[in-house]
Amino acid sequence: MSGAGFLLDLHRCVGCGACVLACRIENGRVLATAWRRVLPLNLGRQPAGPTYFLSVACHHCEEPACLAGCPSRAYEKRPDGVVVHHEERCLGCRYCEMTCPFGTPRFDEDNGVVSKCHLCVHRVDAGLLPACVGACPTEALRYVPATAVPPADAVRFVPGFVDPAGCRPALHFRTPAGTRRVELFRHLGEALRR
Amino acid sequence: MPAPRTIRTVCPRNCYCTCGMLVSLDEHDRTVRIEGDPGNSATAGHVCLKGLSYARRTTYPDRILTPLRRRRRGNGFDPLTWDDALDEIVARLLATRDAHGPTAALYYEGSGSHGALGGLSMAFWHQFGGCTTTFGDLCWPAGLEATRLTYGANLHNHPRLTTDSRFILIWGHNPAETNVHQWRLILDAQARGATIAVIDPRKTDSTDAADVHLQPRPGTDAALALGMARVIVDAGLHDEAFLAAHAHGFEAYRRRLADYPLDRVAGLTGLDAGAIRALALDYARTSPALLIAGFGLQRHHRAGQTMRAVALLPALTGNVGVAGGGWQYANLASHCLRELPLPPEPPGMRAVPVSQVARHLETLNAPPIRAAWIERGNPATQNPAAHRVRQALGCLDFVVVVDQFMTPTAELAHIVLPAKTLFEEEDLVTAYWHPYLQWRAKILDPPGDVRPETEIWRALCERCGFDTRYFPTDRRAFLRSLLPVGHESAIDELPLRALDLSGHGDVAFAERRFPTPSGKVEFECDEASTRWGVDRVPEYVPLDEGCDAPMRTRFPLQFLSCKTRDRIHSQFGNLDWVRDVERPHVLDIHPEDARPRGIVDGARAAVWNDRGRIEVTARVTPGIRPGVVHVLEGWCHDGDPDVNALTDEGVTDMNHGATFYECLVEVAPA
Amino acid sequence: MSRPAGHGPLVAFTSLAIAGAGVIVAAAYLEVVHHHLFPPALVAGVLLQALGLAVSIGHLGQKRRAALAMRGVGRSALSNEVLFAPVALACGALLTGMTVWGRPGTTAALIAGVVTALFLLSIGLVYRVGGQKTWQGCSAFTPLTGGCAFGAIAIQSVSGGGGVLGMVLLLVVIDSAVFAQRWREVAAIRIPAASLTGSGMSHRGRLLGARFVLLDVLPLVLLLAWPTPLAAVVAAAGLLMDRVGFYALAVQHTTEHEVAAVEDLMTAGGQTRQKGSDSQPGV
Repeated sequence: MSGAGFLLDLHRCVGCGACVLACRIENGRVLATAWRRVLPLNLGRQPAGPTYFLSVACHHCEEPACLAGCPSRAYEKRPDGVVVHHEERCLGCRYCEMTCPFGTPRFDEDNGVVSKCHLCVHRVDAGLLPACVGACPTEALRYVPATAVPPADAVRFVPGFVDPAGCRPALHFRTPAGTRRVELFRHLGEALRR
Repeated sequence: MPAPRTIRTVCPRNCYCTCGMLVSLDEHDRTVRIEGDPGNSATAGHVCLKGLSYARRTTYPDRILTPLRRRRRGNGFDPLTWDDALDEIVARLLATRDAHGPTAALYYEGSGSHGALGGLSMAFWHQFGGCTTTFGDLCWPAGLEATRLTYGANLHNHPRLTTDSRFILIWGHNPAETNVHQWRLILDAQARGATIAVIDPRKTDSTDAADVHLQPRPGTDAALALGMARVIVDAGLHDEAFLAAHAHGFEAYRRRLADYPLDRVAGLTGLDAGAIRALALDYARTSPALLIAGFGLQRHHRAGQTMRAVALLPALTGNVGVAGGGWQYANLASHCLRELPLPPEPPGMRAVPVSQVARHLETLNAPPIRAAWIERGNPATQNPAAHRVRQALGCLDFVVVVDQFMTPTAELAHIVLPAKTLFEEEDLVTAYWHPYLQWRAKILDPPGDVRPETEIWRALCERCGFDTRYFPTDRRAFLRSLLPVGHESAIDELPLRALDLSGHGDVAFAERRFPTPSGKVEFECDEASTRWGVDRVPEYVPLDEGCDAPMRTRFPLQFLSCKTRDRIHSQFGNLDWVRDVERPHVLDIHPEDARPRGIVDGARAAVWNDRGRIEVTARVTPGIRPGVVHVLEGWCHDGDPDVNALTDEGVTDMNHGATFYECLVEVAPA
Repeated sequence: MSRPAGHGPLVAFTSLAIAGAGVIVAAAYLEVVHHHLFPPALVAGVLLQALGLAVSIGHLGQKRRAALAMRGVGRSALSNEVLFAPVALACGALLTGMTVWGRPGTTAALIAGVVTALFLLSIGLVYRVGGQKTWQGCSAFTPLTGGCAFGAIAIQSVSGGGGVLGMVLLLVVIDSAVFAQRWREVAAIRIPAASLTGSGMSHRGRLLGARFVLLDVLPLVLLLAWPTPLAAVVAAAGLLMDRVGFYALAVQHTTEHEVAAVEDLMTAGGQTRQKGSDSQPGV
């Protein structure tokens, strides 16, 4: 069982980007270093696969590559599983940009340090939801606390999201529903396995 | 220094959701959080990406903060004091009136910002001696009238009852993008086992999630609706008890159905007969069933009759006045405010159809339009034949535009006045999807030299020696006086929560009392004929510029220009935060249409007809019906195609709407 | 994000450090095995390493915090390398000092050589990260083998002597073998077309070939004829090519690339992605 993380319902996510904007407002990021991004898959609606959206930020991995590789120990994994980056210890060497296989840490040219999603620990510790989760208008993006068990139908990986470096991201998905989407999703999964 | 605070307000955009918002400011008056107000049970604690972007929009660097005057030589504008701006405006308007008469001035207001105070502009114009305004609406009026003729009123169930539905038929509508709160409820219903069916020539975010998707030829929906009705009646699945008690003219309607056998309808719509039949039977057999129709369904010449045909399906199947059922198009329950007190309207006021602004700017006489005042709108890109609107505005003697940003319309102005944002003046805001009246709070003083429009009009009245008492000094007291009789005390509660003052319950027409002449649902309607000159019973009439038009030999592709979730028409898309997440405005074209024309995915394509020509990047996709092409509407920045160079200044068969989707084009590599 | 961050300074720093360290190792080897002393080589090696270290600090976003970089020793490959850099430099400097002012003895040379060799190894290990398909396998060893080969070539090219030529041959052969293995590994990688944007993988043959020729072939050919500084210059170019090629061939896995790879699979025949940018990430 992993620590705290996100659950993304691929059927409900419409790729609107409200989560991206809410994160910006909450965490005061300038445009170049958004912590969350939304990646459309098959916006051209090819019949070979379904259209869905991956809203991704930091996955607070069980074995974070950023943490293992950081020379100054600027990353810390809290008991609840959240991986936080301590900017005051960051050298700006950008090694974590290389080691993270998801593209999560972002270097800020102006500050000379990297930054990334910290699961809004300041909100979570106060009993609130992370800003992105609270803002999702279709309730597709959910927060899974460390103590909770993800839903039984949740999966760890979907087409478009894999774990090539064995980091064990704490991100779960509910796969698309709806008659047509289910079929396409199944076909896509098979095609990838070939 | 002010304390950090959270204030409840409402988003006043032209949008179904009209979200209740909670805006939090820090001690420096910076917006640090925007959340939905959980107290509005329809929008339920969320806003959308556009609502969140207000944190950026209200302080955006490009925002106009002072009056501006166009340079006499060269491009660009120079700042102007209010005194100089108002003096010049008064001088020019009076000069126009003296030379040509008051109706030589066009007053154009768009739907850019909703609120009761917006109507106060007429306090100036009535005292000015009148002006030329617009009538009709670019958006939804045909459907409104069709619903009124059929059911007597534009009311529908409270959105939260969506989850009671077992079958949701979405027609000409894309709620996943344009009504995200409704979409959440539809997904909830689907999770509880409801079937979701969508009728749309395009593949959209809504159709992707659906269980059933039909892609008819645009403009044939009346035939489809009547064909489905025929299937339902032939199968004996119509609700005879309901019809006996609450239908007027059912026999005439039934006779009309004889003209719509399944094979004919399949041919007309380009759909598979089996699919039509299956949809009709599923809809009729599943109870309760909800039919949500969008505005896209009625953007053509046969709009009213089409909407009547579709709107009758819930009545046919007894899905009226039940939770989880109904005909859902627009809910005007919150439109309960009293009339604004205004000076009497002078004789000779003139009005032109809003879908024909270009034509009338070009050709009106006695007097011609010589000056224009444009606020809360962007006709230079948003109206049909927009390029001709631009040209015509450019020929006027004097143009004033009130806006937050330098839009293409503002660029044609002689004087631009800075517009307030939703945070900067209180008002009352109605809605058209949920029944709530909401208070728009004044959260901040307008920045820079910005003044709310009410102050602009007051100042103009002062300079002209007009009576200024129509403009409130105490807005709260003034708005209180607009509340419906008996509900004045609500003014204290409105700042805290959304209120339903309509007296209608959650279920529309629960008592099956319909405010029509017959007191029943009108399958046959006299007023349709006497007022609008259309058949008393709905029928399918092909579009003039549709899939069966002779013009198709030259322009074989039907052109749609639908809405994106990234914008409200031409608002929001200029902001960097929104550009960051927005989808590209490309030409969607099916491979069957692209291949013979040599259109390559990602290459530039020219789209043209007799009215105009645009160039846009092509996306070759199976996500659209062959024979149909699509480009998103809503011009916000230079990357956006000018779709309204192609659209026609048509008027709908009912109620003076626009015909944006009745448009034939040809496409070729650019 | 398909290019490693801070591309230019990294190439500069690693090229300088590897070149300098390689010279030290070669010189140390000659001291230990053949009792030949090459003070100018040692001085050059130390200077190059020092310059490389300075450049590496210069590319940090927060230079003042450079000392914190050793806090991850034992866990972070980068931290280990950061520890080895000054230690190797110190050993090399000490050896240099001892050599310039007398006979240092084989122990000092052995220590300096081994420590500096470990430094070269630690550079290679920094980049063996799970998210980089092309930075696996033998790529971790080419800084060591390439650096040492360069060092030997550089010394031989200015001084000559049979013992040195033998060492040159040995080290070049080792490097060739290791690099050939790396080449095989890179050639075997299948990467979806979408992930290749911004990467030099479409030129992999030319990049790897140039490095091989410039570092392993040409200098050896030149040196077999006669000792000439030209060989050192060519080998230096080869070392630079090694580093440039290393970063150019980077194909980092990110979620963006994964999505693009799936998109490629779905479009018929894997043709070019739609330039309407509909698969572009949200940021």
